[in-house]
Amino acid sequence: MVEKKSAFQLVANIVMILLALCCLFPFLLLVMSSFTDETTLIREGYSIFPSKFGLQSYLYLFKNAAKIGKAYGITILITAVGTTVSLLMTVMMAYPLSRHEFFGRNVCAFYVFFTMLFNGGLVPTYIMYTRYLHIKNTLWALLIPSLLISAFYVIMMRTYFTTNVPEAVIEAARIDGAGEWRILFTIVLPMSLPMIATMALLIGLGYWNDWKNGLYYLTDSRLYSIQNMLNQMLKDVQFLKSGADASAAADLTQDMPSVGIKMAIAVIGALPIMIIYPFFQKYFVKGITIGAVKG
Amino acid sequence: MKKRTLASLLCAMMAVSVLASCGNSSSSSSEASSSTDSTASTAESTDGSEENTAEEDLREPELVTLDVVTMSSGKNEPDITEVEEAMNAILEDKFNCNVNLTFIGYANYAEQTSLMLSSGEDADLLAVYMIPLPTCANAGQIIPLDDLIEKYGQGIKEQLGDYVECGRVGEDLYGVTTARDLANSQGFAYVKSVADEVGFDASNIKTLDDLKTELLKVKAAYPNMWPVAVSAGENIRNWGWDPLGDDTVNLGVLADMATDTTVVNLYETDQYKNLVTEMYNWMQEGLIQADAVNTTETATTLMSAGTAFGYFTNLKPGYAEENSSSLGYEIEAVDIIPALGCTNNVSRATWAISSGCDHPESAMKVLNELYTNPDLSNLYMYGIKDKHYKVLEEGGASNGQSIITWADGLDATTSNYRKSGTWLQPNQFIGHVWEGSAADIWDQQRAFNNDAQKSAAFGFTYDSATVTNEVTACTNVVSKYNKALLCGALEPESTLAQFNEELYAAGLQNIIDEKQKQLDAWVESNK
Amino acid sequence: MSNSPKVSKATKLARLKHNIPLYLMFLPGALYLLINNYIPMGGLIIAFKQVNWNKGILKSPWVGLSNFEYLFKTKEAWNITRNTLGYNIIFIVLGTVIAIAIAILLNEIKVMTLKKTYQTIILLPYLISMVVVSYLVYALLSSESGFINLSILRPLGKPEIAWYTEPKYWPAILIIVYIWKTFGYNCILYYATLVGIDRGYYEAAVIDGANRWQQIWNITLPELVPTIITLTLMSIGKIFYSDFGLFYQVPMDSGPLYDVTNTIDTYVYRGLIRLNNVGMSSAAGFYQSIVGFVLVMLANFTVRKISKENALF
Repeated sequence: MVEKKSAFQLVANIVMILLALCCLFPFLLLVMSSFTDETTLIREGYSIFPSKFGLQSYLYLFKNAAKIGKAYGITILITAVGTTVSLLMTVMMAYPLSRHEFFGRNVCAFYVFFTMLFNGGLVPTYIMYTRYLHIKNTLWALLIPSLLISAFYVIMMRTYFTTNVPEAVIEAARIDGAGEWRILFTIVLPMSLPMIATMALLIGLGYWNDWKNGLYYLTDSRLYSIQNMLNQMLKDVQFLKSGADASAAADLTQDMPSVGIKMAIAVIGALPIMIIYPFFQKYFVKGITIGAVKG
Repeated sequence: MKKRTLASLLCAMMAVSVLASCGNSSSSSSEASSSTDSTASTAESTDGSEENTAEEDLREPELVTLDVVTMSSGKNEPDITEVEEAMNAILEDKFNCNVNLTFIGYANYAEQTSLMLSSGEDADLLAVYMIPLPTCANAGQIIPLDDLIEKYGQGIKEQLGDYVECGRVGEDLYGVTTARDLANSQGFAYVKSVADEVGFDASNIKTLDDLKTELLKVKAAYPNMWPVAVSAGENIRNWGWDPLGDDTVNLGVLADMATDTTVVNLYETDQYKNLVTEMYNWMQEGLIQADAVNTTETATTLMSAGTAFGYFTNLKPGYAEENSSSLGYEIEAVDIIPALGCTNNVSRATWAISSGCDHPESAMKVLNELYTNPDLSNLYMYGIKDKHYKVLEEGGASNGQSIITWADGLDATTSNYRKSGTWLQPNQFIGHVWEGSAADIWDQQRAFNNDAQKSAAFGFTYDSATVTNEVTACTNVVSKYNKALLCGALEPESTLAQFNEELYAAGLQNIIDEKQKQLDAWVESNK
Repeated sequence: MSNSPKVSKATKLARLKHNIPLYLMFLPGALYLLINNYIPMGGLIIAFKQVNWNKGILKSPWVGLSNFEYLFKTKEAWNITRNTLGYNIIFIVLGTVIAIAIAILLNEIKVMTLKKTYQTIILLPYLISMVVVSYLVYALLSSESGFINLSILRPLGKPEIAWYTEPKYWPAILIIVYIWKTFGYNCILYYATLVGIDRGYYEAAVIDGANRWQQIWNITLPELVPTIITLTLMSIGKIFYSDFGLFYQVPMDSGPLYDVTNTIDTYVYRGLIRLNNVGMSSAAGFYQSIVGFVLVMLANFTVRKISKENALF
């Protein structure tokens, strides 16, 4: 029995290690190419062991350190505030939907779900936010449009509450005289930590990686998040395809980041979240333990 | 009649621009540009404005603020605000107007301006670029300018001459072009040091075959260097045809240097077939970069790394100098297809007034000023003197302006008001000349524009509104084949047949018929 | 008989009153969705109009269904519909199976540090944007400088492949890229549900002598069913949409690949980027939504028939 168990463990671990390697390899290639000497990269191609290393790309980024630092600050601020508010609103929306006695439950669930299927499109949404709510070129622009509540997360959360928080626990609390707010925040939430942690991670990622809000609602580059900056730099090359005349071409030559710089930019854009995520994992694991204690 | 106007304009252009600026700013331009430091102008503006109200009817009764949008990179706050203040000092005095400047990078320009135009917010005066002027006009996003330009925009008409007419959609004028290269010649640009070494002789090159002979020398001497590199998958465009509004997709063109007004399917012409066959052969012989179709690099990146020799490009006067200075090594260029002037070249980048603009008259006044007042234009393009740029040679340019360069301690990466996209700002021809370009670069460009052979449909703007379905479908077909064919990546014989079959299935004939109909009507009315 | 409506009305009122805190909780989110989603939905009428911004959306002329024509008129329309649907079905099926398998595997791993490490690593691809993915793929597949051609095929003496001009490889490449990028994420979604499963069930099963496979089959999978249904229903709603980055940026917009990479979204983008036609792009969005809506309603209806508890609404 013990032997069989450890054989299973071995196979499981080998599979996971192979998968992990598949996930890591392209990143390794990315990181190595960002440290490869520019000319070598173009001449000899992408390689894990480049024949010549170089730091030009990072020196270029270092020269722009003030701008990049500021963009980082904005990203962190937006991610922190956005995730907190969004998580709170998502929980508050999902909880009633999980309650059987919530009158109009189906209608409300449909109200949420419907937003996943239909949207008015970019232009009407843009008009709403700029003409009536005046969020253009403010930090609100990075915080509010489209990211604050995702119907998908509300429904995930509701499913979790329905399946993992026993009705009896809630009933018992109610008999003890607890109101709905207290039930939600002192009983249901502590019981749902793994899900909350997962949601926080996913919502946080959404904020961290978003560049669309910046693209649509910001023209003032002081407010750019790191993703807006990176995206703009990476996207400039596409401009060449869509219509540059001779005049534009000369302009672009001075702006176009080289291969190595693009790779370095990609690295620094993804790096912080890769560093933060394992720490987050700690909390995540704690959430798992609490989940287990309950059983 | 038309030709005479153009010719006289060419001669008179310089004199006019100097006169216009004298009349407006009542001081010689070089003097004025040196006195545009912010302290002097703010000190004067308050009391100066009160005196002027009585006599100047151009001033608005109340202060008007206009949002002015253009494409540019490397311009950051708070330096933008400083430039705004300096520009406002001029504009407030004259029109009681302020401007609020917005600069959008290349990558986002099409998306952001089309959103701005749809919502009617945030843009009063803007450069329409990368979204076609006719669709903006048809969708009511921009307003007709005829009356406004008649009343307040005489300076623009003087500066642009007949080129103003290219901004018409139907009967009405919707946009005025910027002063830049308004025709395209096509050719090949290459690294000078390598050319000298292998004996690449540009004077031998008149045709693609000549170019090939010379390129083979490069190939022989440097087997690991691509003789022809391709930027972002696009090798060649507009090789001597007028795309009649469909730049880069060419749905119905005037072929063979556009000498007559019969609209044909480019992809069936011998002209196109010969071109792509030649490219295919080049690719087979290893003259073109193997990855051409899907490279994400620019040709210049490869040239800097020493893995490529040159690339096909649109040319204009000063092309080699301008690129040499931004690349840091010497580039030369050789013309193969002579300059051809098409409406496209002119109308693809125009200034227009948004329909959301509450003060179209002030917008036109400001626009006129941007086209005619060198001080204002220089501020807009290059920023503040001695902060963003410094003068190397006072009055050294042939238009009476100065030769300038980065201010002390700044360069392209550290400047917060970097020179970029000046060709999309209204009128660079009246402004300073950047170090490295010829002192008479603006005159050269004017001459280039005016000397270029004009397409038989020059001045005709095609409106695709009635065939949008076909255009959508055909655009998809063209993007499937055209770039790859021009890179020499596809075998032409069989591919062309399939390509054309799909095009006709997608409704190309309707587009050609519609174009022909519109063009015939235009020819009729312009006899 | 005359009494009963009154009674039910009274209980209804009592129930409503009892529900007030729940409504208050629901309200902020509902308001947000109203502003962010429902009011802009009014803009869907653009799909039936020839918009003239000068007159405003409401006063622009109606044009019936003519904005939709281009989505059906051409030969290409069949192709893009096939691609969009085909890829999405494969993504849903394959994505779900792989994600669940790995979530279970991960859950079985005993050594905590290893478990944590795997979990961290498999989510990495999900953390980066499609643009960056497209550069990674390019670093692997570029025919001149790509890793696969230079470091694998060349040393093996195999002929090098011009990946970006050979359509036959791309269905596989796109599926691999999609799975590579998303399996970690989907895996975490299932995993979060897995760790929430009451350990008591397993302990009871062990006492009953159930082996690991039986535990997985009889406890884990049934517990995952609600999550599977929810996720699948949601994917069905998006079945006419495609990830623009995956189908446009990853193949580097390479023309020869269009037959297998063109989807509704890329078709609309390529065709309309030049036209700046809001009516036609709204029409495409409307078409995608309505198909997704109908399919989801059907699927949800079916789920409701079988197990009311698991239906979305």
